Amino acid sequence: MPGTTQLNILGGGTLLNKLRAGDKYGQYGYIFIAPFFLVLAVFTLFPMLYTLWLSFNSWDGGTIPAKFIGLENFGELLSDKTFRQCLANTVIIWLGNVIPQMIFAIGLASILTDRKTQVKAAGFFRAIFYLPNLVTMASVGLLFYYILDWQAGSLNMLLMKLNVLSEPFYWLQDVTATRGAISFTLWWMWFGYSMIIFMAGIKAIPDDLYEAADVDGANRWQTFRHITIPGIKGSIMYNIVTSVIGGLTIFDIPYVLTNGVGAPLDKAYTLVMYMYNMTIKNMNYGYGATIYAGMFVIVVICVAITFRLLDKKLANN
Amino acid sequence: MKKCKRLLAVVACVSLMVTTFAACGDKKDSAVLIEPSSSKEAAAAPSAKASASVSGAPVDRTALKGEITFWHFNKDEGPNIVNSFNAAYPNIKVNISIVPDKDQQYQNKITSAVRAGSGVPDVFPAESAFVKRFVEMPDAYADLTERAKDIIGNMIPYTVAVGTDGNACLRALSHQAAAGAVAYKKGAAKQYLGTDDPSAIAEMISTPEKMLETAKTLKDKSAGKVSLFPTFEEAQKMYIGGRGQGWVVDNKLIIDQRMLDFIDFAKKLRDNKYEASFDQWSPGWSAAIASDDIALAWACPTWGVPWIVGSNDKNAAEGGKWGIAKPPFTYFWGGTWFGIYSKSEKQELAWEFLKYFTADNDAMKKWALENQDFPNNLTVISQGAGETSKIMGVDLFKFYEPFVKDINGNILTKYDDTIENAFVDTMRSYLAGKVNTKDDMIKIFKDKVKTNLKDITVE
Repeated sequence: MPGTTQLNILGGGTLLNKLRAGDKYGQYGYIFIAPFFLVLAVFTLFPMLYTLWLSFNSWDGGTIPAKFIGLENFGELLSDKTFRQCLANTVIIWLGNVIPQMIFAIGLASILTDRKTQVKAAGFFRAIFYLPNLVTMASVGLLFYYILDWQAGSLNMLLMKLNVLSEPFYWLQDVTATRGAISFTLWWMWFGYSMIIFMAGIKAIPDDLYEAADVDGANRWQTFRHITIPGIKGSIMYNIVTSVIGGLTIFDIPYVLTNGVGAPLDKAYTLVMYMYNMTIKNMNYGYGATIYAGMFVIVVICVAITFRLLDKKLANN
Repeated sequence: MKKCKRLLAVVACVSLMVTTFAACGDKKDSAVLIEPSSSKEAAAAPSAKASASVSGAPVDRTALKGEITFWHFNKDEGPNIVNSFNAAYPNIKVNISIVPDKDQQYQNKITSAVRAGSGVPDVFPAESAFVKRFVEMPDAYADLTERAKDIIGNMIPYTVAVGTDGNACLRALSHQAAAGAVAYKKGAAKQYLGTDDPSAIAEMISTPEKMLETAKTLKDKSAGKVSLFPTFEEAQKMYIGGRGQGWVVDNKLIIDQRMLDFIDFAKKLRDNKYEASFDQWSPGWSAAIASDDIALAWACPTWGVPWIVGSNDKNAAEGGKWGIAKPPFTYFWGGTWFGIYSKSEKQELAWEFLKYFTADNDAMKKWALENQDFPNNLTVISQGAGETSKIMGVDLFKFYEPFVKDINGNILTKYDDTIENAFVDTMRSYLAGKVNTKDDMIKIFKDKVKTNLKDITVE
């Protein structure tokens, strides 16, 4: 009996001897999960609560103690145009990334797992598509910064060689191009990851359903629409939830691509960049914590909505 | 209850994920403890017997014994300073730790230690970008006013002004002066301007009007190939130095008339293609330094001779390619200051350490020559380097001497880094045509400053 083995290991038999019928064995489970909760409390909950406390204070991170100012920071946050701009930028960049990411990932996953076609070297393609995800975000940001450089970037040089442009285009001073570049980079990095999740989901769909569809004369699109998509709803929602959280906390790529300022004119300034600059660069720990609190509430609301949708969809399914 | 549990699960899940996704710091650059330099160098120490060149009574340096802690953010300069010191003071052990300032790691570590009142090194430096923060921070640097009163007269005045707090207490000293000049390509100057003589070039760029005239001549004669500057930011460095007031005076944002003039000047540079439109420190900007037919002139502080020109143009050290001229407005760019922790128990030893590399004539000259640095020591400067710079072909001590005293150090504030980043960012959009008018540009700049610095007044 596995339980007995564990108790023997822990107590050398004496603990087991003390147990009586009716004892709550479950209470020992608390011992096993305690380390996780200890780590959670020290490294996650305490910093969160401390950050929340800081948001009610004015503090420059220096030797002068923090000063309690009540809800003043939150009042300021509500009327902060830059915060609203950052939120809008973050959502736009996220949408520009997540929509093509999901479409590509589902499309490629269904092609690479197609039972009829049996794509050769599917494993190779899976690895290739996943590869960008292994590179650190900052490196990718720097790579794209060099590619998009106005005067010496390879993209402008290529377009000018091909006579598409007569003079260099200042990509990183164009709002659409900058946001597009960030979305594109994120898409490039993450579609392979999402694809692997979808592939796992598709492989879990019983073959019987596809065979039944064949017998019923369903074409490829009908099979995809009525069997594959409903079958991977769980994977879709998982990808969306993680993407909501990851998307709302975008930092590395826009930070590197815009030299940390969110140029042009704050249109590529994201929530986490704003929080980072306010706290670390401008030494305004109180307001930085308030931005974090605001961001946290937004993320919780978005995720709660997504979870609610997830529950309904799964229930309907 | 079920809903509560679900909400709790969502909050716990989100908190974990937010923390995971937002955790983006580079963890590799933690503090590196460097072994204290051995006393082997002591044998080679030229001045280990007595500190005759530092003001005050000569002391037997070998008689001083003890141990101090020293942090630095630069892995090259820090150990070199310790080695140089230990060559003269073999019996003072300096425990050095290198803490890189990536993501302001160094600043935060010092601040946390000062706040806690423990673990603070006896001596720690600060760069020009954040020196004012520590100079003005209560309990950080000790007051050096009395101790340094006999040596500051031999220092370049702007460095003393930078190290002085709002209450006129001297808190930090520098071993170097990052005085600014203009480095130019001799070949392009000779070919398109008819001369490569430093005085003639200095005259050609001595006022904004003359700079525009020179830029036009250059553009016309080179058929638009060579610009005066690789970027408007070169001129910006000089204009910033030429201000009469700092960015913040009496807690209020001040846009000096010089900067208002600069906005117009930069616009003319861009519209007439008198600058090559690179971003400073971008790959194109670096490549332009090595090229002979992109731009003529670069803002060049003392450290820029080896680190801007020398490191980007590999042929520069062959000589004859580069010249150096007096800038239109005196300015400084960069530099490192050092101070003693206010509650250090090793005040005297720490002072010996600090005094050695900020006031000892022999040590400072040796340091400057070995490290291609420029000493913050008027006596040493007046003696000349005794050799010509391989890159610039002149004695750099003699070159900078006539104008280093004119540099204004009172204009540096602890807000400069943030404000100048906001200024450059807004200027780039204005010059790219994304902001229509100068008034709009100023308004956006002010809004940015107001957003970032909530403790100053912006009108």
